[in-house]
Amino acid sequence: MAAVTPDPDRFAVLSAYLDGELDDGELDEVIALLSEDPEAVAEFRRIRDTKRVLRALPVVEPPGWLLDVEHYGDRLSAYLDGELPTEEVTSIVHHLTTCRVCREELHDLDRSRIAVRALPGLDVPRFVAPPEPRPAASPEPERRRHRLRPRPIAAATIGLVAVLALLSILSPGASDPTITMSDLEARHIARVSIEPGFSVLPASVEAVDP
Amino acid sequence: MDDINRPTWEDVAHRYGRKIYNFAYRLTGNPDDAADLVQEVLLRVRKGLERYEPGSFEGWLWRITRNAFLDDIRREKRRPTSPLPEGDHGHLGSSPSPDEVLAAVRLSDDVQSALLKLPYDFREAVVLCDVVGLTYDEIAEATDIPVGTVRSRIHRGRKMLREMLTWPL
Repeated sequence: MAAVTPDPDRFAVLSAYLDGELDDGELDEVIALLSEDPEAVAEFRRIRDTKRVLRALPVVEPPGWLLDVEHYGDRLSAYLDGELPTEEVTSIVHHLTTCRVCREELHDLDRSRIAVRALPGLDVPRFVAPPEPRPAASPEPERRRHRLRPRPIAAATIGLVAVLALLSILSPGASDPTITMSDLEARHIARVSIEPGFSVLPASVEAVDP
Repeated sequence: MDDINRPTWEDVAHRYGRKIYNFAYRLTGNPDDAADLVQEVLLRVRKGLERYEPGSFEGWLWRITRNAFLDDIRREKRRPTSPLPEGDHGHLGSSPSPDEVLAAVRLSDDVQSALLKLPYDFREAVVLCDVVGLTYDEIAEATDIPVGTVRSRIHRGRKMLREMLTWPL
């Protein structure tokens, strides 16, 4: 005759009782077990003591650099733009050597910054900004008198074109909303503002990045 | 969740960082792995907060934590059976006697060693319940298993631990 394997969950209700996790009606089951079954009482004591030991495990303090530090979320943009005092830059660089989250945030900010700076220049239509007039042999006072005032029109039109261009980039329905960095760089209007070889992180920080 | 009520990843770091660290430490016994996991969780929280829908924030956070931990195991970065390093000696109460300190350290080391010998599913359930302090419902949500299975794993995990611990409780 094969031995009967005891149900490993036989006294699971006792663990649930100790954890305050009994379902409706299970309290009666616990009371019955503990008042009638010496094995259940012994098991209850063992589980209770084990739980007590587990709960008494000391809280392990994480290393100070992990949590007990100030992160730099809202100052990383100013760091990128070189708008922070030297002492704060030093502390940020030190922080970046250990904080992966701030490093990633910095990279994301830098990508956004480059993308905005790399927005292409717009070709202004000829009627908005006509080429410089050649020196005329003789003025034509009659025609000038009927010419519209160009400056307000030019300003309004440039604004309109810029808004339309921005909408065409941001619109989800645009035919090709993908903007590649190489594409942006090819049409870079503000390339000069990004120094060659510029890196948002000091070499020492890049070196520790896995 | 609107932006006003949505915590930042820095809030999460301050409020839950120690719990996440202790969860990872008790599962791995390794402070370096625990620190790595905290950073990985914060990275995932930072990316995921924008998509977080109203619900149990802790359930969401612990699911992220668990997935990050399991991903690390899958990458075979962790060595769950590595010996307990020194340093698990803090917060033992106010002014304990030297004997009490030694006993507590030995006890802690023994329990940690036993925890590391538990099968992962049982270890995780016991740690989430007794170290992190989650309810059965929260554990079920974090681990994506039924509450009945949570109850069973906690019970069996404790039984296995008791059998492994050699000193009198």
